[in-house]
Amino acid sequence: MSQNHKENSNQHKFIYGTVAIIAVLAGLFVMQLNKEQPAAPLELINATLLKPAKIVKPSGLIDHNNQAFGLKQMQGHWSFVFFGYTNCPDVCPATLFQFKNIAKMLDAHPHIKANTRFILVSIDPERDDAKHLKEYVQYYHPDFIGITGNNKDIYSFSRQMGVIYQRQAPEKKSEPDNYLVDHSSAILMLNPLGQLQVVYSAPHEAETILKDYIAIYQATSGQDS
Amino acid sequence: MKQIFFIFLILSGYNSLAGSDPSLQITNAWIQEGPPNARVLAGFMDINNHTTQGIIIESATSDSFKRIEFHQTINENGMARMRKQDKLMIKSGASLKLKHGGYHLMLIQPKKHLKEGDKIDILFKLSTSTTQLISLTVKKPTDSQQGHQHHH
Repeated sequence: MSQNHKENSNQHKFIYGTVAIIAVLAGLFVMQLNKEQPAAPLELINATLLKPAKIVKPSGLIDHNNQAFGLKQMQGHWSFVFFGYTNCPDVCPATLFQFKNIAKMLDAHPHIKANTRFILVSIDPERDDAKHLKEYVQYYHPDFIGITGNNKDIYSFSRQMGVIYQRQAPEKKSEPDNYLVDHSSAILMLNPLGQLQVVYSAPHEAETILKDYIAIYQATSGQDS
Repeated sequence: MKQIFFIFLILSGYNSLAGSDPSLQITNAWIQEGPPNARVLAGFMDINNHTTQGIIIESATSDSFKRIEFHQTINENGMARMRKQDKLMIKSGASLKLKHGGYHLMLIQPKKHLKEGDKIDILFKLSTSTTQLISLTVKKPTDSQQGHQHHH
């Protein structure tokens, strides 16, 4: 009896929900029609577009030149962001090589390239100071940006970006500086307002990321490459 | 021409076949080039055990690094986790690929900046009471080596 009632109630919720969604979609459709050039539906291969974009408020962070890195520095361009660390043997170098490949492929789209940044945020700020990060990221590309800060500010920024990380115990007690950090493998993307807009989940492939990014870029900026 | 072929054999790591017997067959042994200040690098290779017994790689050492460990990258629930393995076991007739996003050698504290084209020797200590010298070539990764998706 109560089971039936529950099912009925769920069915109602479903119907109301469907009606609401259709109403919203109809509204959007009308809005699109009112535009001069209605946008084609955005088809993405692997990326997840966050709607609405998530507002993030970095605080206390510095770039690899010891300059403050906040919302102002995040605005005005699209930014690929990866949270990693320089003592990372496998995943982080692989991701930075993919950034390098994406940057290289963007040479064919100079307008987009000029509006794109690549950022490594260190989740291991105790070992990754600005000077060390600078040499590390610039090996991959002279335009790449390394971000560090204190543990508290890095942690706060990572949580806002939906990233988790956890430091493992050192392998040897005699080498307390030799430890690994488990971390989220996703590549995040900030829009030109400095808001979290896209999540590229692992496994990553440079070509797929680029295709999705170009689709998002063109759909949101209304500009060609 | 013969000389070129000979050099190719050396580069391919087939020279390790000529070593102590029984031994593992090692191919595509390479180290990913890293930034000059990288404190760790990763080593990869294909290992085949064509012998009639299981072989355990008990340890790896090299003059070029402070220490070498065996690690496995595990990607699950959106997290990249790194787990140390004490040994690598290759059963008779089996193979093990050390590759991105899986098992690899973690090369701790390179003594100098290794550059593309450098040759590095690593000594495996095997459970068969023998050692095997592996020659790894330093390379920059190609797209196919990065393309994890193709292997899933």
